[in-house]
Amino acid sequence: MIKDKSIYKILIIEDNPGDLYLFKEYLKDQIISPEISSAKNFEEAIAILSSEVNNVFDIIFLDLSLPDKKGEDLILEIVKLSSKKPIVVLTGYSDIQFSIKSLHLGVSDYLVKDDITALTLYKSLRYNIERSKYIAQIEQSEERYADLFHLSPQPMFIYDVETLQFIDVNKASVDSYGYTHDEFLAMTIKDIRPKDDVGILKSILNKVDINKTINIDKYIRHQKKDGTIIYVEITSNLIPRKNKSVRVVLATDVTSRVKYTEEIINQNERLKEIAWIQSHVVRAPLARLMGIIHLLRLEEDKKHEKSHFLFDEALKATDELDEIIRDITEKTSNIDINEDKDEI
Amino acid sequence: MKFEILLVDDDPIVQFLHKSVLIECNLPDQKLFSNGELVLNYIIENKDNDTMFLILLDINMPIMNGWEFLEQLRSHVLKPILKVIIVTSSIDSVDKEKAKKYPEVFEFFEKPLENKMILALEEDDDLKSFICKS
Repeated sequence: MIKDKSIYKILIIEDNPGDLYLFKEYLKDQIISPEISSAKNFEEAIAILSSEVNNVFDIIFLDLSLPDKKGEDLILEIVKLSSKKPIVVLTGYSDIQFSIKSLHLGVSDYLVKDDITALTLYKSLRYNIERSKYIAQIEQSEERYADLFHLSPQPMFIYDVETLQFIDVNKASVDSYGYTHDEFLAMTIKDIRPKDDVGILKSILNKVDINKTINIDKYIRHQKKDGTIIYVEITSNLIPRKNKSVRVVLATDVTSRVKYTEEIINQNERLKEIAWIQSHVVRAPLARLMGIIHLLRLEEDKKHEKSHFLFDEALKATDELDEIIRDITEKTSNIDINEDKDEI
Repeated sequence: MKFEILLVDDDPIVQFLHKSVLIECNLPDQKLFSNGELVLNYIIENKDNDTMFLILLDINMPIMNGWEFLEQLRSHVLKPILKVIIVTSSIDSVDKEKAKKYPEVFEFFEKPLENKMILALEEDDDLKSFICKS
């Protein structure tokens, strides 16, 4: 028979020396060099699991009735100290019902003492160690994805497609909107819109293909708890769940960008207006002046009385020009774009 | 064929200046109007197949401006007896482009109006018999 060459660190918590001996023999039967530690009561088990060295095991076998602790209390205490390693409960026939129940308490498996053989013990060891590795992997990847959501620097939230109720929001949402996590969960996505925009939201939701990514190219207005209105860019995706459909939404605050663009549009309007004034209004008295001077030159020789009139008109035209230029200066000094954009 | 010059401008100084230029060019007879409506009514009342109107038309005027006047012409068949010169202080190229859309407009002058602009009209077939360099 080929024995398992892997090294397993095993803790057996068992008060009956005969049983302990038997389990050790069974393990040596299948495994070349198992590293077995043992504890004969709860106190010893605690000492081993709490010690700073050698406290991590690949698997823990636990007798359910120790002299100083038993049953549910015992399981809960050991689970706490087990560093999420698999725990296999060793039980007698009389305790089978409780052993089954103990699976809910964080126990991986149970073995009936009288039925244990070297093979069943080994199989349980292998099976539970492998299973716990997979569980750890799944938990890790779930954690990573949860982090993507919760630690995202942009506000993200998940809502129920049917009821529009918030199901979860990340920390950035709480920080940005001013509602607590619990307040969010008592609200729907309609509640973070200005009242006038709820109609817009409905029409967007009616229009979108529910299974596709929603990318709203037009900026959407959201309202914070303190009433401040912000502009956001929305990207959202459907997440199918067992009983309902939810969407995960990324809401990027683009308020300063929108404000800045508005400023530029306003400025362009004013510049156009100034250009129009230049070509139409300023040019009018100037053209008049030019005409008057042209005539003055012709009058020069004739020394006609008309030239007094022309001088007066020339002066009036220069006054008018002066006034218009002052007006334009005032208009241009009003152009003052708000430069303090938020750093991104 | 008679020939009548109609000066259309709301600015009395400009009217005076244009009149002076025309007198310098030996064109002493012209009628003055301060907006498009007045000149339009005058044309409708006085048109006959024997009179050609040369209109010096300003753009920015109250009541009916130059563009509105040109729009009004569309509902009257007057083209054969009208020759319109836009005389404006605008140097906006948009205005120059817009003027091309009206068949009655054959010149676009930027103010100030000068003798040489008027005298250059001698080149025009319809006008050469009325304008002669003195």
